[in-house]
Amino acid sequence: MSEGIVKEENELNIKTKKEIVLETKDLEKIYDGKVHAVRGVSFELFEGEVLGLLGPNGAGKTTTISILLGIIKKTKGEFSILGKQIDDFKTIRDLIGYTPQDLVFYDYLTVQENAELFADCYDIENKKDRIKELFELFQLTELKKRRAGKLSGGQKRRLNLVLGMLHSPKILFLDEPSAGMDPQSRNILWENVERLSKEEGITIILTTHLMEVADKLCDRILIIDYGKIIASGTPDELKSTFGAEEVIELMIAENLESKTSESFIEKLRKRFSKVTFLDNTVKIFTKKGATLITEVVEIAVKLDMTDFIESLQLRGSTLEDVFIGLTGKSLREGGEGD
Amino acid sequence: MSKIRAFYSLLKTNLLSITRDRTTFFFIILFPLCFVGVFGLAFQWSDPLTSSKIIGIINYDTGIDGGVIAFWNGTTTVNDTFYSEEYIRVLKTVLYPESNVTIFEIQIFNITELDVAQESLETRNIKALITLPENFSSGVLAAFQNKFGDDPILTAATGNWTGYPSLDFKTIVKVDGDSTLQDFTISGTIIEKITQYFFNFGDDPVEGVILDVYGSLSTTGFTVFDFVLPGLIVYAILNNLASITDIAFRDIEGGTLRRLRISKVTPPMYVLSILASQMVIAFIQIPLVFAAGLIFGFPASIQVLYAFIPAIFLSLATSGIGFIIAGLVKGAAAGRGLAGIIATPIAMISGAFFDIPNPTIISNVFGNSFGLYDVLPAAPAIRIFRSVLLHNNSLASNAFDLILLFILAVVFLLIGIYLYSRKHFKPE
Ligand SMILES: Nc1ncnc2c1ncn2[C@@H]1O[C@H](COP(=O)(O)OP(=O)(O)OP(=O)(O)O)[C@@H](O)[C@H]1O
Ligand SMILES: [Mg+2]
Repeated sequence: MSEGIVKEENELNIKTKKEIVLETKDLEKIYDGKVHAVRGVSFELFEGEVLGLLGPNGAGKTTTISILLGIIKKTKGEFSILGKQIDDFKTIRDLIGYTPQDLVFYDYLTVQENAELFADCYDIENKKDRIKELFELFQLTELKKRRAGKLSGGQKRRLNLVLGMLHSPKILFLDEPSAGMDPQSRNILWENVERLSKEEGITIILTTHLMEVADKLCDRILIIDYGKIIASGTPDELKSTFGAEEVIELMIAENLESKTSESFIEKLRKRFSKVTFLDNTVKIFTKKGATLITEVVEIAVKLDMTDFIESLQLRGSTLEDVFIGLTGKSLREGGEGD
Repeated sequence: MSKIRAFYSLLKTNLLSITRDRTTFFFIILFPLCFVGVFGLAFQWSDPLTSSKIIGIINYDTGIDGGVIAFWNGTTTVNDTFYSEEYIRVLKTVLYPESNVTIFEIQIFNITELDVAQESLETRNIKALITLPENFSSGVLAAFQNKFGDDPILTAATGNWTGYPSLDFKTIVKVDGDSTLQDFTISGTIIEKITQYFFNFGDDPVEGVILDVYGSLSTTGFTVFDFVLPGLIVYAILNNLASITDIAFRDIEGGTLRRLRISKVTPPMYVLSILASQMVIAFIQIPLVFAAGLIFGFPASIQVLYAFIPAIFLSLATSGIGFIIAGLVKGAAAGRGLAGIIATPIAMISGAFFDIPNPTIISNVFGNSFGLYDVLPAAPAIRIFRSVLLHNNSLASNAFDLILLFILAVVFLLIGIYLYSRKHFKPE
């Protein structure tokens, strides 16, 4: 419940301050003249907010972040961070933090040594205290003498995170921060991201292909697919993208003739404004699901296919639904673990 | 201030990557030592003990007046007697036990040829140099008298000949050589035994002679192993190519370079930390390889301190080559492979293991010739190391090679850093 309150506060912040710390305009990236990874991305990042780039694998999230960090070159477009163009990023190095998608540290160094090294790379004054503080937060204190290469996957993730925020950056880029974390680690992450954004006032831009993460963590979400922003807004705004807060979901048996299912969908689409059909699952976006559910059943009865309906439910719409509604495909599709 | 902290941390990280990785540690530290061991043992056994050892003799012996001997023998005409000739004949004829191989091959130097003899000793063309003094024959005579009692005839002769030795007269025979050279130690012992035998007419104890066997601190001569050892130090430093490319590729492929690039670490600081780590390693390798060399008879010398200066340049040049590889080759595997492969042939054609003809390109550069292989930093480095460690020369006398090495280091480094940073420090 407390998360709800935090979010409201942040929304308030955005409304009152609305200072732009990062801005991109028509950003494009074509790798090797072939792969069009980012196709005109424009957005703003406001001070103190947690912005999520949500999209399936290969959508161009990492590419976008890498351009903003100056790791890779943009092909077209413009962007500025804290009012600076890429050329004088050197002057704001210590204001930006980055946690890469892959695990980046020295395996042969201990957890503590890794932290000290990267702290020194940012010339942090009270590095011992800062490291101690972050290790406590991310539950690494007991692991600090271990070789980083010998940590478990989730522990490595947490170290990877800590290394990006040692210098208390103003803007923190988190690329898939929750990848490979168990629910407990993920909770630690969520608590800490909230704490960082609230207490330290760090502006966070994170990528994820997990709805759950975006929904929970982000004040605002950009849904990216094929290198383009296809929708944006607060999680609640996005959930009601199709003018609907509810979804009627039907699971249809696999052995139903495709002719029947096709005419079923056709009929539904005539009646309702937004209907998706993917993986034998029908989603109907609606506002008054309770009154309309009977209509759906009636259509099914008419087609004599009630025996083939495996489940039928009415629930609040999720970001996942929205994503499927927008792209016609599932976000988890081809997802490499989570 | 801030830069120093990051630099130190990066340096530490680079060094730990070597000490904590067994393979790298082996290649950097143990591999060169193994090489020293293999060469040391091989050459230790290559020289069988039953080969004749060439020793030099300078004979100042003025002999005994023929008149004295004549008086003594009761004869009238006798030539002056040189007991040293008999002594040399004995040395020439002693054989190894149960063998027909003579222990020594004697080379006689004229008394005007002292410098030639010294040089032969230094270049180890002779293993020992025996100096027979003017009064050698008198010493033999005195020993004789001591042994066989006061001969009245002989005593009478004293009056007629002022050069007649007193009873406690002793002559001094000097045997010089390089005490670190096994051949000398063995020769010295045998010479000592033979001399004692000679002066004591077949019995102990010795009278009439003081045998002064000593090794001068070190000579500029060398064994095959001595020749190879400076080359092995160079080879050890060249082998660090593998560790430089290792560090460079580790940061590229592991993504740590990305992390460092967006931090406050600057490219020069990053590169310097790698260079410094290589220098630290070279500074550890020199005394280690040198110490291992001592075990196998390499002459100990404080000159080893001079080796650190060319080692700095060589280490820089090697790092430059490492950066060139990392800047040109795509994958880490290919880079490491290449680094591993080229170190040995570079060492070889630079003359680390044996002398190799170096075709002259420019015959006169400030009085020195510049050969084809001199474009490789190892070539001047090896010459400097040999000159300093083996021939006890000063660095100043190697000024040309030292400057050449320095220039090569700068050139290789600049090219390497350019290629590397062009590829890995710019946004992709
Ligand atoms: N260095 C590269 N060279 C060529 N193509 C690349 C490169 N990096 C990424 N791509 C391509 O660009 C597209 C976008 O990749 P990107 O890594 O930005 O996706 P992403 O949204 O981060 O995906 P994920 O959720 O899997 O991390 C993909 O099709 C990918 O194959
Ligand atoms: Mg990604």
